[in-house]
Amino acid sequence: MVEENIWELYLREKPAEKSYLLIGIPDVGLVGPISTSHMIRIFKMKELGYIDSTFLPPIILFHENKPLMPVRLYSTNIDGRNIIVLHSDAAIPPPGLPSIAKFIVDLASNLKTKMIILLGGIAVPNRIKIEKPKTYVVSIEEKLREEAEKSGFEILREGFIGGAYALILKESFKRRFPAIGLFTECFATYPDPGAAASLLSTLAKYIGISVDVKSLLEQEEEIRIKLRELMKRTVESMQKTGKEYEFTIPAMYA
Amino acid sequence: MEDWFRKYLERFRKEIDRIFEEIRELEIEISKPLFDWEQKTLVPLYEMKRLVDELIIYVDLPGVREKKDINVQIAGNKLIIEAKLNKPFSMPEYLPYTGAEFRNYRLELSLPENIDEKKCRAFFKAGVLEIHIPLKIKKVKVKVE
Repeated sequence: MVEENIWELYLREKPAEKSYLLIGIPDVGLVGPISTSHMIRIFKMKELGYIDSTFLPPIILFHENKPLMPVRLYSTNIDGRNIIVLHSDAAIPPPGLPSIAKFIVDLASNLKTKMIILLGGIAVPNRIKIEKPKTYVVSIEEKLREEAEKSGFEILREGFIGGAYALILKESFKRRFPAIGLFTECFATYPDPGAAASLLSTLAKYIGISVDVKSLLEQEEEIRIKLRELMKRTVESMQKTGKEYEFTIPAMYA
Repeated sequence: MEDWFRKYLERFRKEIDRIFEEIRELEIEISKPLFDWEQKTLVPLYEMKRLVDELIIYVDLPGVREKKDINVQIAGNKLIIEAKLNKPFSMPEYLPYTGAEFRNYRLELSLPENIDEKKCRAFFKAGVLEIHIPLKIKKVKVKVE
């Protein structure tokens, strides 16, 4: 049984309404957190607050002498678009996934956000041979899906999505809260800044902003070395969270 | 106490000790950081796939540019991979790494006994090393009745 109120929100100030809520949680290739971290850095986003739970590992970070909670919220306005970012520096342990999914959809609704955009990866076995990884749009709303398709985005037509993002999509679907996932082809078990760069280019096009990914690509090797430990912990956390289903063909298409 | 029962308990105790020792080794392996202070080497992330007659090992080596900087060796039942970074890597701002400068990767993996070392192949692309190790498998055809 899922316990209620085990995730707590600490907000220093309320963000603007009708914002896009971008989510970057550690998952395959760490594509989400690499993307959100890059956005926070290049747009010098303001820290809004954080969320906390006993599900999180007992850690606190320090950056430039200042304490940072592992799961934080940031906000900014880019090219007239209000953006909120939820960034996690810690892999969410599997028992905490159902409750964080509900919490995020509650948060999106309470902050009167426009929609949730999940930033993540989709592991492909031949990633090494892919020069420019493709980003797929996954939507729980027909209208959003049709709009994305009309605008030339690649839609994920069939297949399983597993893990934290699957739970957020399910929760959004049940509550009819607008949510899409942008999932880029990536390595499953290695940090993939190249995939994050492709994803950010698609995100920029989707919400109509400009995101410079040059510095992300320049730091690719360094990011891959630095994030090995987080990747290792994420792979451990991903066991038995439904990620293994992503290579499965659903019975109805067999 | 009956002799057979004492021997049974002794075997049981040894088995429990063995299981605990395996768990302890696994915990050490999992909690091991991905760097070696004394050798000043990084431990790369890797993935191992076992097919029916082949082992495929993918090793992530960011910061390694050329194949001449990689050394792959099989010594007994160990696979040893060493690679040189194109420039020393350090993270002076992070407390546990303060002052440490890493120049190489090193990974040592145990291999099964039935490998065919003469047919091993390795490829390097986009910072990922791919090693194919064929396995000698005795195949017996079973008649279907």
